[in-house]
Amino acid sequence: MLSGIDAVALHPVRNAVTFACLVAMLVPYVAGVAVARGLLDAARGAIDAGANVYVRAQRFGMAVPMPLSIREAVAEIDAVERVTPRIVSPLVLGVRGEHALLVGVPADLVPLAEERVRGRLFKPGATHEFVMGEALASSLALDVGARMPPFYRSARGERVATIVGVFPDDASPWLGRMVFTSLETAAWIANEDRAVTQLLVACENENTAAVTRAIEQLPLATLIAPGTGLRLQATTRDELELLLPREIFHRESALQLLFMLVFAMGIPLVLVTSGLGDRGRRRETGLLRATGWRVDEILARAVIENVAIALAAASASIVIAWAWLELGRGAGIAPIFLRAEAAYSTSALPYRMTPLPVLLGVTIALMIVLAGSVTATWRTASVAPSETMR
Amino acid sequence: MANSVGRSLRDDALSATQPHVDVRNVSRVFHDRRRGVICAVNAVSFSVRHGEFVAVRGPSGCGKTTLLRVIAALDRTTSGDVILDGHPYSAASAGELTIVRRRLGLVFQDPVLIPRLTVWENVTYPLIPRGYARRARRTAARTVLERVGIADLGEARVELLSGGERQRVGLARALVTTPELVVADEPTAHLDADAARQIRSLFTELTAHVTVIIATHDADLAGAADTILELDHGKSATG
Repeated sequence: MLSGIDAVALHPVRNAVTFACLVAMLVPYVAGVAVARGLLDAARGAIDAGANVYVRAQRFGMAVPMPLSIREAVAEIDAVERVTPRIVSPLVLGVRGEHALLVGVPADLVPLAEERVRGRLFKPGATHEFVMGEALASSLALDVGARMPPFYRSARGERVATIVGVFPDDASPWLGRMVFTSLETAAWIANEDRAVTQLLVACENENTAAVTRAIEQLPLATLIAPGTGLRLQATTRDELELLLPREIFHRESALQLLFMLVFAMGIPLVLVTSGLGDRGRRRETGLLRATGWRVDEILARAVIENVAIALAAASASIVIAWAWLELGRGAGIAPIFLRAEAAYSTSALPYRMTPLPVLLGVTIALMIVLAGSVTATWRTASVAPSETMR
Repeated sequence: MANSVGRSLRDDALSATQPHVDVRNVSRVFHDRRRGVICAVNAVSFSVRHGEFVAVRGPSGCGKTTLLRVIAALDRTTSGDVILDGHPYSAASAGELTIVRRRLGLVFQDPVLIPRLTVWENVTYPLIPRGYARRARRTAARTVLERVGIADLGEARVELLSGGERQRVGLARALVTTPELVVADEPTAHLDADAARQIRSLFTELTAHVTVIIATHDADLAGAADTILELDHGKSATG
């Protein structure tokens, strides 16, 4: 046992290179999977805390605003407890074209509003007061109390907006590039009077299916006007939960594919560094055989040596991946999961280290180094020592 | 206990009657793609008594090293047999050959030391599979290093040693297992006159305790042997 661990120190350069190769291959994998799982958790949490049914309008398959009159019709459906209108619209702000997401919503529906906002929330009505994520505020050089010049064209004229609150960096990755304002202000900016983009419907969980059905069967021709081509799409919380992870799983799968590619390219290097074709190792093995070591003892020594390297590399990879995500905020890997142009910030990147991928990483690391070293050692130890000591 | 004493008495009686090493008609043939069939050792026979010092001499390429490798169980014979204390091992399994090797001390022309280990760690490496703890290995190393005159170098890294010192470390490694037979392949080959003289005197002292078979060009070292075996083109020229 000890001779195997001692053997790690016998070949510091070779073992250091093996260690470094393994760490370089494992860290992105462990970090990527942790981010995917973290985002999944965060998304599920957000969905669980949200509405039971999300209603959007479509025309020719495209999302379009819906008249506010639909809200009253939905509110009248049996079992519906509350209907909240919301305006969601992408924005481009500042001279450098910062991408953001405008959300017009009642102040009491802004997530984390009470406990995390620096400053205060916007007042109801067309007050032109904004609460935005810190990532966006910093890139626009704005802070609480700052004023924003008009950035939109509206039939009702342009207004200067005031930043009344900022969500700090560590609040949530989803808030970093969002701009929250009242429904009326959002309608003003979007130039959509008496129209919203989404309805958030609350009801008892057991009534969700019936409410969804009723929403989709609303007589739009009577409610709005005939021949508008408008169609309502109601998405339940469960459907959203199924849809959201799929995207994250796609990205995780892409990462795993990338990881396999990197691993495939790295395997020959690790095989070489961990033993194949190493003349020094051959001579050493020959010497051990000549001085009375059995083949199984030599193999055990090589296994322990390489298990120690693989475990050390896997442990280091976990620590480095953690540091990368926690201290380095997942720089470089976060964009794989969080599109930069979307309304997300990487400042509070959620992640969850799960045992399975870590275990898989350790197993793969073990298999590769053992394949390199044990095969070479076994081949060397199985021939006459006089051959290997040449 | 009684068994052990009985075995010991029987072993003593046997050692008085049978040779320690019996090399019987040993041949070793190599097949080389370019040079064809090479008969490195050709039907060599000789016997070595317990405590005897045998020197194998001959020009370069005459088969000295091959013969020693076969005796040391590092290589197999093509035909013939090597018998150690009445046990032939030419047809032995790999595991049995390992057991034979554990009874021997091997000294190589190039001592093949493991870099980055200290002298004492190198010397005691053969003791690890024999189950020696670190402390016991250290004690064994101290004794054997004293015996070969480099007790003060125990903690030194082997990369920093001179050729003579390295060869002494190799000899100490061969002796640390208290072998019955020491097989040495040209131990003074690459040494200067002074270092060679020191190694020579160590081997002369050694023959008082163990059987030694040595391949050498060194006339002085061969001169100290009880028996000299001359090899020429793989054949025994001694008759």
